[in-house]
Amino acid sequence: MRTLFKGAVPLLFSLLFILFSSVILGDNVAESLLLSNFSTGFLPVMFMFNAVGLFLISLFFMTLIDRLDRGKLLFRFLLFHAVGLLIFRALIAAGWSGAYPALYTYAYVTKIICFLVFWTVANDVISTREAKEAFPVIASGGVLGGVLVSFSVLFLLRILGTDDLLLVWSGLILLSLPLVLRVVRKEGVLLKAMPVVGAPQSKRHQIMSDFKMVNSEALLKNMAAVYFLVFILIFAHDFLFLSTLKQAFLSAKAHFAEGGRETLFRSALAGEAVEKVILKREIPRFLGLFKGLANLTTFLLQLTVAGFFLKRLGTARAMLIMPAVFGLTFLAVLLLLSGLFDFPTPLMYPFFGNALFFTLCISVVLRIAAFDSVYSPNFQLFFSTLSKEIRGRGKIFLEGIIKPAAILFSGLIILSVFPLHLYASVAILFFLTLVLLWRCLSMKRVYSESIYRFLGGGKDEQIRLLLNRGMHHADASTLRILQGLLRDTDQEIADFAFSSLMRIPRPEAESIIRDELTRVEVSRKAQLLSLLMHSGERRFIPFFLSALVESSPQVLEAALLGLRPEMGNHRASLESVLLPMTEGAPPVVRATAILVLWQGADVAQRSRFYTFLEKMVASPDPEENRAALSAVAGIGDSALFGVLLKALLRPHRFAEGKDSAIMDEFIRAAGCFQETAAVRFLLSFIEGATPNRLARIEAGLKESLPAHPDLLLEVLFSPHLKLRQCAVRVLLLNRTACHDALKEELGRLAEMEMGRLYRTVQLAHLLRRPEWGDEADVLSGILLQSCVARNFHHLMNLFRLLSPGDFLSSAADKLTSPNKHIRSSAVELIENNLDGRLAKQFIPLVESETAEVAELAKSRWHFHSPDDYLIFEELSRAEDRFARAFALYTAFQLSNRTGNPNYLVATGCSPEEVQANLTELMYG
Amino acid sequence: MDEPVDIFKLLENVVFLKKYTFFSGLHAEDLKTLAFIILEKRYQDNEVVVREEEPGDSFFLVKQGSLRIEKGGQELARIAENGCFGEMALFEEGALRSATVVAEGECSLLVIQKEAFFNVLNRAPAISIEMLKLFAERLRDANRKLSERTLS
Repeated sequence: MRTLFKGAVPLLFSLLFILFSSVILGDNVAESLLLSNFSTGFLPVMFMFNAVGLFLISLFFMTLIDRLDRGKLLFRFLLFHAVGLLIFRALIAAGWSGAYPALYTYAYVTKIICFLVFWTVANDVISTREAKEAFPVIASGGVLGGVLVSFSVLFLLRILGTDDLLLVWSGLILLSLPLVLRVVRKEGVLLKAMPVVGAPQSKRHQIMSDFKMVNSEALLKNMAAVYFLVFILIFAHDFLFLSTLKQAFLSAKAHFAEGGRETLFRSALAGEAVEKVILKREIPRFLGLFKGLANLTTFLLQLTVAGFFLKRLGTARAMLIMPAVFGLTFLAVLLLLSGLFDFPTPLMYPFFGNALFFTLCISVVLRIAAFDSVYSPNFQLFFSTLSKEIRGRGKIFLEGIIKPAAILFSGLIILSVFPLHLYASVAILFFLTLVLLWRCLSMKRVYSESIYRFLGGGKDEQIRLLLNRGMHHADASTLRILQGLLRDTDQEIADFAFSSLMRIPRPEAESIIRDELTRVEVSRKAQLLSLLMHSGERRFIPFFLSALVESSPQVLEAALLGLRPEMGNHRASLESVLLPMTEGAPPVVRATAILVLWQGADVAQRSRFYTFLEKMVASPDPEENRAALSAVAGIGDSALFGVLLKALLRPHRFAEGKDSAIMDEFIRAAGCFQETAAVRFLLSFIEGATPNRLARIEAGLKESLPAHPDLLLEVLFSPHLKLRQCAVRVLLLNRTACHDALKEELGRLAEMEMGRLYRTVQLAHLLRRPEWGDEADVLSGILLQSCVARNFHHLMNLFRLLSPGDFLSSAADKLTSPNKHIRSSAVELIENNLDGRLAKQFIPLVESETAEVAELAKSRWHFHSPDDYLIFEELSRAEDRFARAFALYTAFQLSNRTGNPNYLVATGCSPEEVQANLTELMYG
Repeated sequence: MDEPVDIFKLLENVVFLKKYTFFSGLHAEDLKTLAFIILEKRYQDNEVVVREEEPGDSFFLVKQGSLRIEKGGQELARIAENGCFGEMALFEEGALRSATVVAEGECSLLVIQKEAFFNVLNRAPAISIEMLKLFAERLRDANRKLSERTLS
């Protein structure tokens, strides 16, 4: 609850309190004025006007809401609204009767726009995770305002006429303006509009592009479907309830006529028909009480358990509450109507023994409570993950287009099906509930995809598609630009231009490529041929063939590798050129020729090649070693394991890693073999490997490590963090190796890793005591940053292996983002895609304060707080080298400062050894 | 940097940078890189640390003691413990000191020299961000003072 009393929440609570009060007051005033001046038969016509008015205003607002500063938009809208009400008061005073219906539609449309802009502002300033607790509380401010104003109206009516309540309504809105200004002043940065890209558009074009944008967002489309279905079911449910209420009360005429109600009794005596009195007085009286009870229940839920419930359940799962309520309701009604199910219902007021009415009463209370306290605030959370430039328009799309459509559709069902057969109507509603359930279930996937994209996932693929699409439509000017860029001094730009030209399937592009290959010097030509080779396109074969006449070994190597895929088709002709190269050419050409010829060679040839490679590996010339190992790696045939073993027997050259290029080729070659020796060899180089070499080792282990299950488990549960991290990354490269039994082990590993992090946070918390000085405080920070936050990446890799799809790949480096919206979305993604138990264990590490995590470490993980000295004993064994160094330094300083040697003794280091040990740990 | 670094001094400086300077937002491991190039210098009472109009290539953090800033013989301001000065010298080519800084009582200063600092920036770019924040803060402060003077 701590986030609820700081930041924007109290402000938004108060603002919604006032806005909701004004809206409820406005509804009452507009409805009373209309009904007192027009007949009730006019109401359906007004509903149509409302739907049309809402639709038109929504179109107008759609062009504004994401293009203006939303704080200013809310302020200006409310100011305009307040002034508008004063104008209506003046029109009424002038005696214009058209003002009443106009005010009715005005009240309806401004109500929707007011809440819409308010909740968009709330989405902007509160992150998704905070919103789970905050939105139900903010919403309760609205409900509270509604309840209070409902009672206040009775009092106000005694001193003011209904017309003058317009002034109170306007006053309430003006009262909200200072609060809006405070929100803008406090959170203004978050409310700024996104810059508009491109030339200004006409209104019609803006509307069209807005619809296109909304239509391109899968989450929004799914939300629209859910919204549409929910509102159809709500209107139908209400209709069912009201018609049953009428029946139940009219059937209980005897109860009312016998004096069950004093007013009714008096009216009956006064000569009014009992039925009329029931309709005019008893039903509104019951509805007032009933709605008050439902709203009170909602308010209590919102203020107490709704936030907790939302957080526990997760955003996607919380959506299931509405299909659950509707499903139970319509199923029970169907069973009651069919006579398969019945139960004794109280005979007293207001149920009068009517089981159907009793069921509907309970279900409406449940529905209102579920809708207002869980579904509605939860639905707002989805908007948080929509990009800011579409958020407002998305809301308007739902409120201004989908909602009127749902009103019309439910009206059609009510008008066309309900009068025919009640059972069939309820069956249709049950069927629609099942459709709603299906849409809500698919929400989880769509929501995950939306967050994945929000966090930048799948961008590489999008850029690749975009480039390919763009290059396929390249014109002469594009070719000219690319040709110019080929000469750029920055090689990355020149490579990009060359790769772009490769994507253009036109003779002009190939001609530029040919010219470029002729123009550049040999080392660059080799690089460009390699780029052509990686494209794998057959149309570049002539470039490789023409390069075979070159004398440069690098160019020949690249050309030969480019021709490798063609060996199957043109072996005879190529063999005559390549075979001589296997003997007399420079080492790299010899080895590459063997690599190209190996596939499809006969036994005698292979035996000859084997001997060549063996000799090259044993040669004192490092160039020959490198070339041979590169060929062994490229061929990847287990028959060549002997060559690798020969290399293994020469540790002075390979194992010491003095020659980085040979070492890399050796690692690449070792990665081609599944033999345990090759795997162990690769594992032995992990500890001191640079990031680039580590990537090579992992690529080499991709197939071979999962092929040795015992060894894989040994590495996964190794005491060395770097080995564990590497094993997990290897499995990410080869996810097909993750069978169910292995996943169980990975789940166990994930829990162990989280246990380690909880323990580290607990120790970090224990170190924060003033009497231990600055060193202990800094050590605590080091533990949290180096040992916890940095390990999130490893845990996320593990989680990626344990969750379906690969949505979590975009969340890994976002958990420590300084932007709370990004952090919050990353946690949302985890919560929606990871096994509930693991998510529940992990999320506090990201979201909770150190003290809370330390408490969880005690209660959930049963970690006892160690004695003071033992903290340092434990930290002297930390996996992070820098943390170990700082723990030793802190223990040393504490011993010096307090005169108590035990801090240092606990680290297992004597005072004389401290300097040497610290130097070793800091310098390596 | 040819002399072996005193490992205790190094760690002490990491703690000081982390706890008391505007570098506290950096990871301790980045600060370790910075601490490697820091020199600690002691000054006596009234000793001049930097002199107005003289070229400068160092940035100073006050570890202990306090100093006064003088310009044309007049005291402009004081720098207390954990404060800093001379940051412009790190980024301005051929910068001349804009004021004289004199020790008040015994002072201990941490000194970062331009060349070593640039080497560190290459290895730990996060430090550049903290420096930018410092500049922004100083600029805002200067603007505020300017507008106060204009208004008065």
